[in-house]
Amino acid sequence: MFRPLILALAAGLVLGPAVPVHAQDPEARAERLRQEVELRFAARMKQELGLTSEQDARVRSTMATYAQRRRALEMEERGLRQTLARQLRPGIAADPDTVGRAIDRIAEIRVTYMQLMRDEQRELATVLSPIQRAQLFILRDRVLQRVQDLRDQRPGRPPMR
Amino acid sequence: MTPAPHLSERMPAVALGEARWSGAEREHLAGCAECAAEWEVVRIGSALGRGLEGEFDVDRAVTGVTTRLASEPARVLRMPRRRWLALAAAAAVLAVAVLRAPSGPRVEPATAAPVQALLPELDGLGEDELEQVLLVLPAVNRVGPTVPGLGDLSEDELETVLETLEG
Repeated sequence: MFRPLILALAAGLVLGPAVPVHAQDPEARAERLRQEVELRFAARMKQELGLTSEQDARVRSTMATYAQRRRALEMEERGLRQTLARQLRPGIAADPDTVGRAIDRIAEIRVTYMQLMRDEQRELATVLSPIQRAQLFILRDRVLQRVQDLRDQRPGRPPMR
Repeated sequence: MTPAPHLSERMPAVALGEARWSGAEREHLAGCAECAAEWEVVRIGSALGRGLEGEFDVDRAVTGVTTRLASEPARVLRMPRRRWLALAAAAAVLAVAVLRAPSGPRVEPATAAPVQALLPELDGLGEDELEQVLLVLPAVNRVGPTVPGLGDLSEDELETVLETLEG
């Protein structure tokens, strides 16, 4: 008589863990939000610049290529900043060679970053009108400025740019 | 930005044209993604079915339903004991599932299609920071363009903008 109840309870216990726990993971939530920002940025870009489908595809492809290169630079710089933070802890003698190499490399990365931005602009100029390029510049600058402000506002983090 | 519950309560009235947003409320909606999304749903929802009354004969439908209810004999729902047990089992499963589910607001899992990464600068930002970034990118069609138009710039001003771009 109680077989259905027992079977159902057993099924519940087995299926319980199938609840998408990963969806509640803060990292997964952050990734979802990051994708939302990317999607919204792409949508705004298409609308505000009045891109045709062909332009949209080409612009995204160009930007994605340069984004990968910028990502590599950003990662390297983050690693160097951590090195500097470790070296410059109060009360611990810093290794001048390590600090010197890190700061020189950060300076090189900044130059490379700007060169990439310029190369990207040249490539975008083959797809977009000057006005569209300027609109894209302003749109992206607004996002990057906000990102930088947020990084600067982190506790214990002096502004570095 | 913190969601404002009183705004939620006023949304139906505003959507139906019975009330209007105050300046402060409008300002909050412009800055709070959560409230703006809720307002979008209420606004669109209130417009659904508008004009349907012209095509749907309400009086005829009401008469038909009441006549049928009066003519049909009432049916008493009788369930065998075994069904009651199955129902209780289903409720137990539901309770187990609810109790085992993690608490906190849910986020939809990432979409299957990969999103093209155009902004690597977002890497390493936390949830709160990403929500702040979203605020500078209003959803398309929600508000007007936020990038200033360049059509009213003079040639000199446009050249200055281009010089900035080209370094």
